[in-house]
Amino acid sequence: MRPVYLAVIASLFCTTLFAVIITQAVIDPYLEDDFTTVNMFNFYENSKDQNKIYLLGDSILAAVDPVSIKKHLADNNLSYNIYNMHSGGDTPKHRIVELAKIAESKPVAVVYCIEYRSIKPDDRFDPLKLETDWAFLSDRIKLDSYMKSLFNASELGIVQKDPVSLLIYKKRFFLPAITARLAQAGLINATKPIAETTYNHEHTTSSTKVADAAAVHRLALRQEDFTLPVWIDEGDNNNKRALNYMVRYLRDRGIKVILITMPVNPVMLSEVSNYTKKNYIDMIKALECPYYDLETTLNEREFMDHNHLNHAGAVNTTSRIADILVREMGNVSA
Amino acid sequence: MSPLDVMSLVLVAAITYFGNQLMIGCPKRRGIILFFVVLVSVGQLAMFKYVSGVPLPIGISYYTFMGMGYSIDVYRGKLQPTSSPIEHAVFIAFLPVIVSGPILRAKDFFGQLHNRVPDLQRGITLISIGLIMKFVIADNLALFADPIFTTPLKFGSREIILATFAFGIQLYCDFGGYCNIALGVAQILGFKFPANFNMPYLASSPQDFWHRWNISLSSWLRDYLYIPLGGNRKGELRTHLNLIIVMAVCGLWHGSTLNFLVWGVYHGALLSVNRLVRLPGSRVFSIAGLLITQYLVFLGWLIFRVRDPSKLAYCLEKFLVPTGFSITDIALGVVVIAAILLARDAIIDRDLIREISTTKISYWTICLTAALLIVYLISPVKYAPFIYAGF
Repeated sequence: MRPVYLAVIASLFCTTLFAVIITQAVIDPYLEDDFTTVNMFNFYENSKDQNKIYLLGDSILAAVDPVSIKKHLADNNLSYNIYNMHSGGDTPKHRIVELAKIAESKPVAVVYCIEYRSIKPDDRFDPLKLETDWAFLSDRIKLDSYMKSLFNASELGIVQKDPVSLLIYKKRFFLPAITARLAQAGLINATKPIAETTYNHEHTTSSTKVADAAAVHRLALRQEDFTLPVWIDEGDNNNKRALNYMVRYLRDRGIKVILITMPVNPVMLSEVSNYTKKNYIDMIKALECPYYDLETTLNEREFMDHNHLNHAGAVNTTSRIADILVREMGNVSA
Repeated sequence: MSPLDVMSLVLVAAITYFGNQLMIGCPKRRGIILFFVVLVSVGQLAMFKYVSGVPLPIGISYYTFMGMGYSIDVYRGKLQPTSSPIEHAVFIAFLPVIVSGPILRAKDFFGQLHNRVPDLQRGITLISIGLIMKFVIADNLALFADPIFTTPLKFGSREIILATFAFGIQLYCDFGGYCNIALGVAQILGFKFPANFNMPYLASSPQDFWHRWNISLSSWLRDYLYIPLGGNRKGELRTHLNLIIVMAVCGLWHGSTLNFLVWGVYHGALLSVNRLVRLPGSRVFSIAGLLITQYLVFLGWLIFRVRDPSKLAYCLEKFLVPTGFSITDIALGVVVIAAILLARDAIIDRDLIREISTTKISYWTICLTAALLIVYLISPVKYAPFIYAGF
């Protein structure tokens, strides 16, 4: 063979080899350190705690304090570790990507804190969220055939990349990884993403901000994708199917499932139609699992914006969730 | 390729092929035949370029000029046309260059068609350099420059100036990168075509710049428009007029919006002034010429880039009256310019491609590996389309 052909083959081989080495040496550690969802998967895989309860939900759940809940349970002679596994923008269809990992980590119970947006028709499956969070976990994500049926082809292409696509996908983090290491070494100024690793530290937000009711009302009337109200009909959609499947999947594996509807800003709630409320409740009832409705438990002054809790709202909601768990886990212990 | 792309390609190939055959068959009527060939070629190009709502077929500006150049050479008796419609079609639709050029000359193509000498090492060297230019330099600069030019009114003088220089380098690396890839593929197939760029940002006069930038287009315009218009043989006033006309056509070749015409006329004016003002050949004047020329060239890129007149006016004001630069910025700028001037003598007009591709095979392998790794790691996630594919 001519030398130049050998040179090209050698070069392609070496390039691939170096690409794999650099990915493993530089990029993977960066992803392990700096990405919330990677850390969440690491947590699920490594957690040996036999007495754990997961709180699942979106950014509204972020303010709920797992430490206070644990203390309240302990005061009632219940010994459980509470982990707040909130994830911004969470929906059942998002969360089902983690379902196998959640089940394998063997929690005693899962509390899924949902709201109307959780089961809206999934006409918006945020590719930005998936691309930045799940694509590089695709070698660790386990989906059965039903779970796969909930995603379209391009969504599946993101969460189930083959090794070559995954290697090429990860290369986008090479420069951020270098920047992060230089920042760590103090050589440059750069903000480093903060990724949680423990999930059971104090969460309660210290914000005392109160949402401007008029601004919230204007937002409610705009009916943007990220806000309430949504329109939920009686038909099926992939978020409803995902929630249904999650509840059955966890229950079949001996994991208790509790559903809680999180508090809704009264200004937003006033724009939710009775039709939507009825379809939401009908869907919840069909799941046949313990359900608690905290929808109307907070007033407008306990929200910092159209849906996130401020400090007062967080303390109130944490206390209510703690009471729910005392009631439910007390039954389990008995 | 869409059906429209194919249709346009077939039309140009057919009209130039049959036109060439007819010119040989009826030499007395070759003038009128050529006129018809040029009319149809330019007409279809103008229709796609200047009629709004009609999508531009890919590569139309390039293969139309290639076909017309071929026919004009046949008319002038400089070339015998091929009788094979297949060979003619292969020339018009030569795949490596169809998207963004360079504009090939028929004599270069047909002269090598039946005695090609594939050179894999040189070809891969060209492709690798092209990949780095396009996917590492151009696409990363685009991440900086594009947001600024999308909403320039939000930015001040410093950002506009930096974005202009970034765009100029982006444009060179994008277009030059593609051309290197195209020439590299052609080299692997056995065709050795002339380079389309020769270190244009080291040019020390507007005339020198156009001997180094998009050489295939500038030489085409020289041979098939400037010289037939009389070139510099019809008196001084006519020469200046010809320069402006040719460069106006060059601007319009790029696009139908006013900024391209202004850009073309602007360069016509620069060439015209260059003809009147010749700096002495000393080193100091050579450096001064380089700095002035490049300043004017990059000013021209601002006109080229910003199509909206009100945004262009704003950008020009910010470019021409620099503000907001710190001492560090100025010091860095001086260092960069000094480095360019120092490197200039070392690299200008050197055939770096030949030097790299004829080096020892082990060193070449290491360079190729490094190049591929750099392209893999540093290229941005989303690739920008080739800029000159839009012309």
